[in-house]
Amino acid sequence: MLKRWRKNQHQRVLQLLSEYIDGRLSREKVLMVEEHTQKCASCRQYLESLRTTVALLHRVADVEPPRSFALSETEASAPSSSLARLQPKALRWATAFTAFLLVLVFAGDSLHLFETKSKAPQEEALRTETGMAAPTPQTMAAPQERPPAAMSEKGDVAQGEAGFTTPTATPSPTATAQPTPSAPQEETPPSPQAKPEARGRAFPVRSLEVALAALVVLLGGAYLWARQRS
Amino acid sequence: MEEGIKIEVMNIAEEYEPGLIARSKAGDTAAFNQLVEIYQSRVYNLVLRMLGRAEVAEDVTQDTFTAAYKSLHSFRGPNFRAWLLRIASNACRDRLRSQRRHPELSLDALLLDPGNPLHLPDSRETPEEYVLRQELGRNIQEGLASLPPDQRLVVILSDIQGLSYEEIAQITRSPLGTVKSRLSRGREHLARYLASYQELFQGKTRPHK
Repeated sequence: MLKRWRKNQHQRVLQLLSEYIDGRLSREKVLMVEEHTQKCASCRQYLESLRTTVALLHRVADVEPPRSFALSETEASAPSSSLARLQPKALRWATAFTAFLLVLVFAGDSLHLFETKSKAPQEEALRTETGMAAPTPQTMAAPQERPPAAMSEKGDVAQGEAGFTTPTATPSPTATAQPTPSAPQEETPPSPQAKPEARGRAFPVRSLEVALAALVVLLGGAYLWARQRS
Repeated sequence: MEEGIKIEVMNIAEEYEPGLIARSKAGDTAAFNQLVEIYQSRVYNLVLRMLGRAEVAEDVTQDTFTAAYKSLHSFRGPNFRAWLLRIASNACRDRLRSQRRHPELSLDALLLDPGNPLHLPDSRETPEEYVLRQELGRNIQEGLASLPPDQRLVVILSDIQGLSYEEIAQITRSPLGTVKSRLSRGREHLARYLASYQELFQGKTRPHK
C-alpha cells in the first residue's frame, strides 16, 4: 500500500518538475517536490538534467536576420499568401459541397422525388444553390456537358412517353439502324429549344446531375492543382 | 545593464505599437514596416528554429509579415506579438506539412545547415570553447528537430524566446494545461537527447547546488 502510494507520489513529482524549475508551482506543491527529491535519487538526477537542458536553451542567442523583411509597396499590394493558402481549402469545401448536392439530387432522382408536379421549383432552388456554391466559370462549363446529356434525356423522354421501361437499350439500335451515323447528332441542336417543354419531366434533373458531376470534377481538379502548387 | 536597455526599448515599442497598428490598418506601409523592424528578429528566429534551414526560414518569415499585413483588419488586440507569432507558427506548420508531402525537400531540413550555426555566444572564448559551442549548438538544434512540432514550438517559445505560459497558450490557442504538458514532455525528451552529450556541457552550465 505504502509502496504504491510512493510510486504514485514519484510519478506526480516527475510531472511537476518542469513547472517547478519555472517557479510556477503553489507552495504546497513546491514542498511536496522538495520533500520527495530529497529522498528520491532518480528524481534528483532528472531534475538536474532538466535544469541543465533549460539553462542551455536559455543560452541560445538570437541569430541576426539575414535581411530586412520590410514590405515594399508592391508586396503590400500583392495578393496575400494567406489568401493563397485559403484557396485550396475553399476549393476542397466547394468540391465536398457540390458532391453532396450531387448525391442529394441523385438520391432524389432515383427515389423519383422529382417526378411530381412540384419538381420544377425544387430544381430551381437547387440550381440557385449550385450557383451560390460555384462561381460563374463553373456554370459556364455546364452547357458543354449538356448536349450528350440532353441526348440521352431526349431518349428517356421519348421512351417514357412510349411507355417503355428500358430506355437506354433502344437508342443504340436506332443509331445503328440509321444509314447515316450523324442522325442522332442532328437531334442534339434542337435540345436547347426543347428544354422549356421538357421542364416538367425528368430532363432538367438529369442535366443538373451531369452539371453537378462536371462541377465536382472541375472543382476537385482545381483543388488538386492548387494543392500541388502550394 | 544591457538587459535593462533592451527592456526599455521594448517598452517604448509597446507604447507606440497601438498607433503603428492603427496606421497600418489604414494602409500605411511605412508604419507596418516599423512593426516589422520591431518583430522581425523574433519571428525569424522562431521560424529558423522550427524549420532549421535559413533559406526556408527567410521565405516563411516574409510570408508571415505579408500575411499579417493582409489580415491586419482581423487583429482585435491586445497582444500583437502573440497574434504575429501565431501567424508565424501556422506558417511553420503549413511548411512542415508540405515538406511531409514532398520528403525530398525536407531531407535533413531540420538539421542545421552549416552556414547558419545556432549561436551560443560567449565573449573571449578559446578555440576549444568555440568548437564546443558549435557542437553544442548543433546538438541542441538536432534535439529540437527530433521533437514533435507542437512540443518544439512550446519549448522554443518558452525556453529560447522566454515567453510566459499564458502568452504561449494565446499563440498556440491551447489551454494552459496543454502548454505545460507539452513543455514538460519536450524538455524531458530534449534532456534525454542531450544526456549523451552531457560531458560537453558538464561544469560549464551546471547550476549551483
